Amino acid sequence: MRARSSTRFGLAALSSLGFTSGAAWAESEPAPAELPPIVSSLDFEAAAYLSLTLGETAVPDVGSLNPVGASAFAAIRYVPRQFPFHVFFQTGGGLVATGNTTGPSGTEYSNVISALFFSPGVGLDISALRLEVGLGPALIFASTSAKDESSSSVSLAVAGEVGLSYRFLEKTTWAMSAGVRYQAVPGAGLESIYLGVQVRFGSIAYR
Amino acid sequence: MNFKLLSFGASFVVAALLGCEGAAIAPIPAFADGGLLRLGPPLPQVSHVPLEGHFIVKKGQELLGDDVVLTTGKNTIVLSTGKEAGVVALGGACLAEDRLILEGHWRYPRGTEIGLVRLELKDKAAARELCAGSLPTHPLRFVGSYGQGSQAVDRALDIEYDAPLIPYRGRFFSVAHHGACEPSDTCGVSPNTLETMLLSERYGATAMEVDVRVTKDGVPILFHDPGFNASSTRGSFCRGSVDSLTFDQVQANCRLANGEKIPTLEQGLDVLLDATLMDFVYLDLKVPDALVESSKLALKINKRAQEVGRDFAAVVALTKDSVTQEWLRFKDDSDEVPPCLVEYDPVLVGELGCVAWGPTWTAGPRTDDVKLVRASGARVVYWTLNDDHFIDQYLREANPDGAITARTGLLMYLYQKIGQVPPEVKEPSPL
Repeated sequence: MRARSSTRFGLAALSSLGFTSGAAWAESEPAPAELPPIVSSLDFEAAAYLSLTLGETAVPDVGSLNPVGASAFAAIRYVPRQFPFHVFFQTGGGLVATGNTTGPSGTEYSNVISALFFSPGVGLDISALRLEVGLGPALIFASTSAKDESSSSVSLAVAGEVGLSYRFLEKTTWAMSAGVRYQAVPGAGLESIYLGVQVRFGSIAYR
Repeated sequence: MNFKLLSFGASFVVAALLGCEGAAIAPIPAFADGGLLRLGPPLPQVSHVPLEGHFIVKKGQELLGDDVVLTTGKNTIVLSTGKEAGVVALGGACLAEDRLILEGHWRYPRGTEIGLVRLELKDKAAARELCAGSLPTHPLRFVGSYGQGSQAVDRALDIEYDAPLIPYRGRFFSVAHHGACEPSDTCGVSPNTLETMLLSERYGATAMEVDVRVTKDGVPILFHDPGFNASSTRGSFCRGSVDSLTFDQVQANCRLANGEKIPTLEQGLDVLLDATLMDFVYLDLKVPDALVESSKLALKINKRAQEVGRDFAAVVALTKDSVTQEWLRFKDDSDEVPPCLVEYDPVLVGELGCVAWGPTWTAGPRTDDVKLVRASGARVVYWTLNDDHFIDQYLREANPDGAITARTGLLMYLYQKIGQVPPEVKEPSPL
């Protein structure tokens, strides 16, 4: 076996091991008939989401919580062709929620929660639908600040997620999906629903 | 098959994530008609102690077993039983026609079972005496009924005085373990709150242990964990370590699991002195930084207790060497220090002049160390005895002065059943 056009992704080392960049050679000459079929691939993805976090301030009467956040993720996914399921690892994060609270002194505090996730998981492809389950560590960042007083903290927790996406666009070299994801971090008291798009922008094929 | 497996896995993860909720709450029920206590003046406080004693259960053994111990607190009458560590928390009122009514609720604290109770003193002459603030010269027998949940009280209850109690007030301490219930129980009241202090006495506590930490701006607060987390607090912005937030920020962003405010130590001490008859409070200092301010507040409340004639003491627990070192520095710099209790080393109790030793139960009764501590004129209060078997064992083998427990009623019941009055301390003790 021989790799073709693998340097487009800077993967010369992989190509020397016999890996082929499927996306790359699809753009070049038609595949030679003698090449064996692809048995699996390593897909590279990026995703952007808007999130809605379930929560409330400790004293709702004198505080407000804006539950809308935004986040971005990058994922690498190993997809065997023989089975409908695959494994992945993704990392990313962003703004989870913001809000204002007021202390007994009358001081108004501005609060921000953001998070960074590291999530291995498994996925199942059924036609254009993809179901995913992930579980991994998360870093939760929180800050509370007023004019002359600010505090911040970082905590480590376990996050779990379940996602469902639909691939509505597929080209030879890339694909795009729309997805919904439920994510929970019980130790940090966070539950969020994410809506967004995922883009597969590269792939290494194994033959 | 693969799809089924993955679906099962997904369901498992979702269930695990959603299933991390707290235990079900068994709220305290109320009489649908508002109850009878509102129809008359409360039973005078001076008439509470004369009610105390061992009572035989003539009807209602399925709820209370064969006998109960009746103790009292501030406007509170408590029946404690060995059955399911059960307690009955009652209030008393004097109604027209010489009726003395006790009403409240029963609870098995290890589960969710709870219900209403209504009792009436059968002998109207005794009721008349008690409601007048006199000692009763007639027999004490209460008859009435109980129910399940908030349902009507329709099951017969009948208890009759049998024998006096052995001394317990100021002698044996049933110390509530940072509250009336463990966080895993179903009381609906969070630990280390003003609310649980009041409930603790209603469940038989004669003293209270509270956990003390200090905020970023140096305010001692009652909170157990080093940081705020979703299992013990509410509020999406309630995050970080206790010492990273000011008290104002804590109040702005945090409420406890059942909605209570996180109190300051000062607020807690005021409630224990003014709203209960508890004998002492055990200040479990979680960090050395809490020692100086907590000690000042302990001195202040002890002085106020003396002024109002209350037998009450705030005792600083030296929980580890770092706290003890801070204590020694404070002692060097101060004219006066509050009473202290050593948790970890019995030898230090005498050396530091502390009033008690608070050993962990996990190391066994340690009867030789108990003798050593008592020889120095100090008391012994174990932590934390919740199990019937261990309470029984430690009462028999070590004859302690008390124990920290989440089963305050059970501890008092077993002390009265099988315990002996602890020896008098040699020197005058604030405990």
